[in-house]
Amino acid sequence: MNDLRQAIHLIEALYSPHPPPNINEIQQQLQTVQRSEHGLELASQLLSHEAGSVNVEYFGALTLAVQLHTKTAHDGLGDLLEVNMLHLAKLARLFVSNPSQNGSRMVVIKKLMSNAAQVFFRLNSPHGTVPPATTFTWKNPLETFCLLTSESSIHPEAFHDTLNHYLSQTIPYDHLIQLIGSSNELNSLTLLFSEVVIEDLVKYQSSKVGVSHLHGVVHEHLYITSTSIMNYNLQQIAISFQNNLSQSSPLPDNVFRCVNAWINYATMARSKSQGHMDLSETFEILIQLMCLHDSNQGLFPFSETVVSILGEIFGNDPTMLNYELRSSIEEILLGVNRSSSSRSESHQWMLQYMNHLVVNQMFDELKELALCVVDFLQISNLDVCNKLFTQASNNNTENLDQYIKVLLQMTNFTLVPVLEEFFSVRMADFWLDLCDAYNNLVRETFKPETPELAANLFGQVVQIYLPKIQLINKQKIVQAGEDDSLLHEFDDFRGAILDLIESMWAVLGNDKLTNVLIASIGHLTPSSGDDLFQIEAMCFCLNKLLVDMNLSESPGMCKTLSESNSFLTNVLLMIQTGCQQKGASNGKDAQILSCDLVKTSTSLLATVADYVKKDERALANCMDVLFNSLESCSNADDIDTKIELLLTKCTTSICETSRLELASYLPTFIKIQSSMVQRSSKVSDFTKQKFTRCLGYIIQNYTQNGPEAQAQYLAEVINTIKAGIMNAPDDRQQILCLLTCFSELGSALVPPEDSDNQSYLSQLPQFQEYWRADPPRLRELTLNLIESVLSRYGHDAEFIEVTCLIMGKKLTLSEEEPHFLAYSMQELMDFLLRRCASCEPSTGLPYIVYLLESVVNRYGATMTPQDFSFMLSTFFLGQHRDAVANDPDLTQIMITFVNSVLETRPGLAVHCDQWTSFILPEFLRFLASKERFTISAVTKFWTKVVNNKKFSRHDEVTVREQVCALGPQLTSQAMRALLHAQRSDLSYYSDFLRALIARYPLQSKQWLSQALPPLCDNNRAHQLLVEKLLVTRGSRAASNAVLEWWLNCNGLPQLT
Amino acid sequence: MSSLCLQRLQEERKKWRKDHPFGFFAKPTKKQDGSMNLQKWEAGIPGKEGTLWKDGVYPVTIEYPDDYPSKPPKVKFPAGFYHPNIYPSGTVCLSILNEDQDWRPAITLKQIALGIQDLLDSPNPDSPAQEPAWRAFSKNKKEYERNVIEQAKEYTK
Repeated sequence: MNDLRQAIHLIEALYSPHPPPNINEIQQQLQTVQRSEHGLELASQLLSHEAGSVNVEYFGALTLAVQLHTKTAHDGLGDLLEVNMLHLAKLARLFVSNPSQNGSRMVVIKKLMSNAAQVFFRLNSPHGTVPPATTFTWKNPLETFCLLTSESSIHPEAFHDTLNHYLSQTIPYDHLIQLIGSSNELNSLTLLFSEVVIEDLVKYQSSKVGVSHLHGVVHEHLYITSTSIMNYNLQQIAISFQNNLSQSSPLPDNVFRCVNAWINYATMARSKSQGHMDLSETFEILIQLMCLHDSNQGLFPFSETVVSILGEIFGNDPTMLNYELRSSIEEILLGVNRSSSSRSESHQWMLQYMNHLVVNQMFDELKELALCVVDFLQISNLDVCNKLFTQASNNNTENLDQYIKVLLQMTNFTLVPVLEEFFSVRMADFWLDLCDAYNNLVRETFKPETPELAANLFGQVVQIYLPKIQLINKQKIVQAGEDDSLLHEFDDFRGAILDLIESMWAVLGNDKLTNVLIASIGHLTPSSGDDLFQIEAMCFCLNKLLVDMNLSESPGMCKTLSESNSFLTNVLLMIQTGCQQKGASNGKDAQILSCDLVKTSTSLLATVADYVKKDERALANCMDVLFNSLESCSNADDIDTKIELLLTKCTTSICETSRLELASYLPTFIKIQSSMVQRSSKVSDFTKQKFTRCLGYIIQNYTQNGPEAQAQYLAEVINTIKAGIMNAPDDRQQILCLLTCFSELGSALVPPEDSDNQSYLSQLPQFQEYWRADPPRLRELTLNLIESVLSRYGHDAEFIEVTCLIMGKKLTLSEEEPHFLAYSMQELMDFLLRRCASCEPSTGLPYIVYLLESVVNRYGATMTPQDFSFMLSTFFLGQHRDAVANDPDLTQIMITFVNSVLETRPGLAVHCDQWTSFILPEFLRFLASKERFTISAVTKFWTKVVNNKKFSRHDEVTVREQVCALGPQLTSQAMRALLHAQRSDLSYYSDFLRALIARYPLQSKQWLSQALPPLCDNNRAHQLLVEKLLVTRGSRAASNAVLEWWLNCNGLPQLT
Repeated sequence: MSSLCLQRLQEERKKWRKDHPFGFFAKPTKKQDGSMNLQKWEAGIPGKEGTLWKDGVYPVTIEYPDDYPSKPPKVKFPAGFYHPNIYPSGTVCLSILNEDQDWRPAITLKQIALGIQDLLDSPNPDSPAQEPAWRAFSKNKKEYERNVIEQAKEYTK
């Protein structure tokens, strides 16, 4: 770049609204000059250029910044500062003299200020070693700036001396105030400079260490100047408002921005430096400004800004405000002070401000105020708790009562929460903390009246929040057309109240909370939507209290429920109403609320299932409502689908709990299930399957009339499923769904572990005998049905999965327990062989092997090594051999299968035909696998081979001999694989090594010594590994030794 | 628990209560004596809208070690939770929760919760933690999707 003109041309092109195509080239060209040794000269020329545009000047300032960052030492820092300050002073003076004409230069001024700040930081950072020729100190950029800008004239040729003189010059307070008072523009620039320096300092300190010296310099110099200027300005704002209400100064924004920057800095610097930067005087004036108002005109000019500033402080660092200031704020915000009985007049401002915000529907500002007030309250939460409830304080109780009254009033703001007011939302946190604090108090510290006082207080809180969380408020939010975020916020609010209610239960107990809610729900006779919303809110809270209560062991609670006349009726009414209103034609709000109504009511109904089952009529009512409601669902839209899901889950829960009590409902259930599984039915597959499970629960417990009666119902259900399948041979989804229904039926017929069905237990032998013989031939029927389906869908993995599940149902039960799907080993093996012959191995074989594993687990005792050999050769080494060898997942499934045998009856594997011919050599090879689950399985295999407590003496002798023979190869292969394994897989190998060394200590030392050197040339690491492994017993120590070796041999840094 | 750990956890609780993403919940559990156990939290992670996970809120426990925030918390779903990067025990395998990977003491509960929500629908097949979900995700997307949707119904919102 030859001359200045060319540079200016390029800069203008760079900043042009329509940049040329070679913009990147231009950028690179300019950057090269900026970084070069001519950068400083170019910057100076650009900033001095008479006809230069703002872009050119800005680029000059930017070039100075680049030069500053290019210089890592302090070489030339003085020259750079000189150029920077010369132009900063020049531009600032231009702005002061003619602000309207030079306003556009503010961006350049700001950049030069930022450059000056960086020089200031560098000069005052501890590692600064300024060269002797430029040795100078600079403690207060703000004062230097004021002095330079207020100079009558600046001569570039004499600037070096002028600057040097001013760098160390201090300005007395009066003079400083006189200077900034002389010009609004100078004042505003000084505030801006203070803000820029301090904001840059916050950024600067986060990337540097050891800046406490710099903080010290700031504290001693800049802080004093800045607070003087800020406080002066804040006072001027107040005076200006008081003297002339209508006049608004342009400066407040600048002052508040500067104040905010200093608060942020002081918060940060408190933890990073010594000494406390006290901003109390500033806060005092801010509080005065907050309270300035003209109630006649409804004018609160600074309230919102100061409330927001104070809110930030209370939320982040409340101790920035000293006790006196906090007390004065307490009086202003609450009109009452916890510690004194004085009444504050300043609270009038708060009342008028709230009124102003409410009347003018300034809900955002109201929310800001709520955040500020509640964050303030949280500071003294523990103190409030102690003063209220303990003997620790002998405060004026009347005063505390008044204090609490204010808090309750604040919670009980008569607007719509979230949409219009935020006090109740934020106060939930306050009350929760207060309640938790109360619950954690030592009982001995209580005042005599404390329990009653607490119950009374938290009882009032419950009464305030119950209407607040009602769905009517959610309806208002929907109707207001606000976006979904407010709805989510309202849901969050309801969730927070549940936490609060749960915590308050510890204070109020069942007597004053749970029972009251139950009674209130039961005493209401809803005649309108509002009543129903009231019931819903109470049910919503009640569910939270009851969900962890075992009602079958709480007769007292069941009695309360039964005494509450319309309790169940009202809960059911919510379900009915929800289902009636769920249609899209009722509007979005009705749809959303219907979902909430059904969710609350079905959750509560499922929670009180243990109570419901004890009352025949109640149970009947519940089932009727649930059936009818389910009938109304047609999966028309998302809401409809969700409601159906909620109803189904509730029905399943009640049926599981009341399987005995619902016996008389069997015919009805069978009828409904039959109609539900028809192709024409609109209910979801999920509901069909879960409803069949419900039906299964009842059949499972239908034992009083002996196994024949149970079998009859089972046959009916199975025939329905069979008919469904036969009627739709081409409908893959329908058949799959029906088979899943079958599987659900099979699962439901597994008796619960804690079953207390005496009739069943007394008839157990009859049931065993009956299902062993299976007179209705349900097993055959099932198997034929499955085979018939699979003759068409035998390649389809989903069908293999579900049919394997059906066939294996009984395998989860012990041998003696009866089940209608108790297939013999032969039947199961035949089934599996047929599936194996026709399946697509990569998708179907895993399901087949899962069932095969269950078969081996169940019938292992009767199996011989030849049986196992047959399984291995048929399922893995027969027609699927190639697939198993080539697909790591199938390989892993095979290894896992062998492992399962090693864990139950290892002799079956050890003495099978393939043990030495296939398993040992191939599994040795698999050690080098790269897939995590294969590594996991194969290392587990070898661990089980070298150390297996289930081995018989004969197994042990055989295997020991084999391991001794294979030892060198096994160790070498494992260590090679380990060396090349991923770090996260190392633990699998170290577990194996630990087992090997524990069982073969002498041999393994030798094997390792032979195996390691060929792997890599690092004898020291090998030696260390062997030594450590040999003396190590714990898993963690072994893993560490292996990790250390692995890092070392792979040339990776060791962990410190 | 160190004072640093306690202070940080109180800070986390405060921050979470003041600002947390919608649909999520998180709160410290209670000890037997009713006091708050700040080292063990219960939380709910909603599935993202527009994903297979959307219909559920998935429960997790978050356990903070004594040397938190130097060490990351352990986040667990219920045992057997179906996801390629969740171990059979329910422990979440996520780089920001791994001390040797991307954990930084400055990571907040909100970031963890959002990170887990992201993980739900964006599993990392290179870091498998459980076999069934990983295999289905890698080889049989249809089966994977079916199981995820089924699981979402179990944890319905």
